[in-house]
Amino acid sequence: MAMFRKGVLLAQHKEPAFSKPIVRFVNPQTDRMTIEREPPANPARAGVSDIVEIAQAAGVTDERDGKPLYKKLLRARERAVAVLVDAVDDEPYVSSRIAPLLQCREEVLGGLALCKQVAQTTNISFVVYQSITDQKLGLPRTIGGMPVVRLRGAYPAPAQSAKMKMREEKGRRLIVGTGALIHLYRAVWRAKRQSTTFITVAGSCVANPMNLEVSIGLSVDQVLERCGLSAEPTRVVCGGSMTGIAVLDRDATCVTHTTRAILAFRENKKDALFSCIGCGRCEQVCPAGLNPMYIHRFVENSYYANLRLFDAHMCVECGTCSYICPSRLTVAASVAKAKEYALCHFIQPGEETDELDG
Amino acid sequence: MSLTANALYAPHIRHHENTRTVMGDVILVLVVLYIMAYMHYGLRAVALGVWSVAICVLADVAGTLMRRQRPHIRDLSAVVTGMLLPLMMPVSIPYRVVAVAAVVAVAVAKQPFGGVGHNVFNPAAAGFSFAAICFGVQMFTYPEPQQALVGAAGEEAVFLPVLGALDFVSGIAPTFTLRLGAVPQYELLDMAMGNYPGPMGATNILVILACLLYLVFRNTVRWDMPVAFFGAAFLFAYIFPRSQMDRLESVGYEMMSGLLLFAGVFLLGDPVTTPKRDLSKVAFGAVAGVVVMLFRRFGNMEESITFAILLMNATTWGFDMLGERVYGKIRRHRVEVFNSQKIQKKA
Repeated sequence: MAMFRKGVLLAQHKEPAFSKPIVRFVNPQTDRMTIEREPPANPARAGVSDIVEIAQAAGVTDERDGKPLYKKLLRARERAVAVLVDAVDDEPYVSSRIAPLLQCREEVLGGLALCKQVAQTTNISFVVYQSITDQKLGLPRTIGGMPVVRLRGAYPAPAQSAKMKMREEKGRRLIVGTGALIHLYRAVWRAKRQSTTFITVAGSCVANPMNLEVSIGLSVDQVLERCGLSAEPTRVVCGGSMTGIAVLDRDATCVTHTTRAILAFRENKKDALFSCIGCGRCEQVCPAGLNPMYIHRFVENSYYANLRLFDAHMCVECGTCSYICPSRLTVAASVAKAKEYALCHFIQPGEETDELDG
Repeated sequence: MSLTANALYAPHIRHHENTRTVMGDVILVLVVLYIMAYMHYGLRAVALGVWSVAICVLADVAGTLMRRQRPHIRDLSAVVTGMLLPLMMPVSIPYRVVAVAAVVAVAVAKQPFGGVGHNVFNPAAAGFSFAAICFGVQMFTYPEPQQALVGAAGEEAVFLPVLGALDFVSGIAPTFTLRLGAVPQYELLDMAMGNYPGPMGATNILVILACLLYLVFRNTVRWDMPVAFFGAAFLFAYIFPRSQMDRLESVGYEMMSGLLLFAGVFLLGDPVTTPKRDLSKVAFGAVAGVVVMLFRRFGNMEESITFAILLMNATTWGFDMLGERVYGKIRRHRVEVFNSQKIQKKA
């Protein structure tokens, strides 16, 4: 019943990609690259500085935020009290973090053991998004003896979940993605440089939706060809279905460390471009409690001075307002514009909050 | 690969409901009301509806073209306005009155403000108010439902003729009796079943309540506004009965007579002309309930609810801004609490 719910529960569409085995689609030359550093004699007992140096030499990058993993490990060595493994795939179609967690369990656990050594803590948990209704695989309660925290509720998961937000150790924890753990493990145990990343290829136009381990630097076109297109897509997306970026030139756009998915959709052009009927649904679903409808109206009419009341800088850019809009307006884009304006004109430096950095 | 401007922005998936399905929900329940009107009054009720919809759509297209824009009949908003108008009128209403009301609704209350989504005043309420001022006699003469009538040629007809001269037995509507300060002669149960003279779509109390339930569960109408509106009207009728009768009886007659229920569901359920936030919706609904009852008590017209709603529509912006101030306080307070917790932890 939609009327009692805050936020929006999305149909996840993760199958069939989620339960299929991950396929390797790699460039053999880059895949053979190794690091020029002596591997530790016993990787299971590698020292902290060894692990950090190897992570730096192998160029392991956290796919969550694009930061080098060794920097995060250095910070964690100083003050981390907990390690969270982020496998929250709350956007529809995307399962590129949860699938490696379930299918490459040994490698993830191996990487996690190394992180544990660096952070010197036993407070370790996995975080997954539970509201996946179409999955065929069950989500386990524990992985390797460590608890799996399940985020419930509507999209966007980190913003809506009190569990994630109000944990005691906020700001003093190491959050890593599953891909980074796998690559850390491979770097330490097999001296491999990170040359691949895990992505989901899905969407209404993709003939064989699946999770791939692809070489970084392959073009979007090559990846889509690997999975096959059942129809010519009108929209190709690099990133999640809610927050990703539309690809204009498929040949020139490459897979990077932080690419989580490549999605191809074909849309019905007919149901577009109605005008706003003021139904207020965007306000009902906004996780930050903003008023996207009025912000959109002011931005459309360039009444930027009126925006002071509306706190656009608190937007978390989840795209929920555009998703729910029955008139198919680009509300989220307007709010993003207003946010930029508000951060420049209304907010003193230092006043903005990093409330929802998860 | 062709990309429209729309295709560039995230999110790249959309909810399956669009403006058409929202309007379609309303049209669906209005069709049910037309079926009820057909049962009570015959084919003339349906013919009035078709006539009104046709004029509204034509006026809408003409208005949009005059604004040099491409008409979108597909958004169905003109159809909803057209279907609402005759349901608020008696079935004996001449076609020309419906036509005038429809033209005023679309060409005066809707299009000059910028069409769908920009109108300040509810088009149906505006059209009805105009007709009520200009054609008072025809607008407030209600035929008895389901009564054998004598046609113009003398032969006995069960229902009013669709076209041609009308000759019917008019009943005394409860709104009229209440305005005189007397007690209506109808049983409350009869009124709940819709068996009393009144506007052709607004007398089926139970059916309208079912419609409201459907719209609320479909999330087309939020539940808080009708609850606040009917709650305020209920309390007002309970505390200040208009005539010598039991308080609860007064509540029953006030709630079920005239357009109160119909307007609470369909005119206040219009998303364009009412506030958006939950809190402002509640405040707006409560104030609207009181204003409507005040209009009934001190107004000169038999049915003044549309005037009250037009008055309230003008305050929508104010309610929205007040609500935004409250929500803004809540938002900032939340952030402050969060920041202070973080500072404590750092220290």
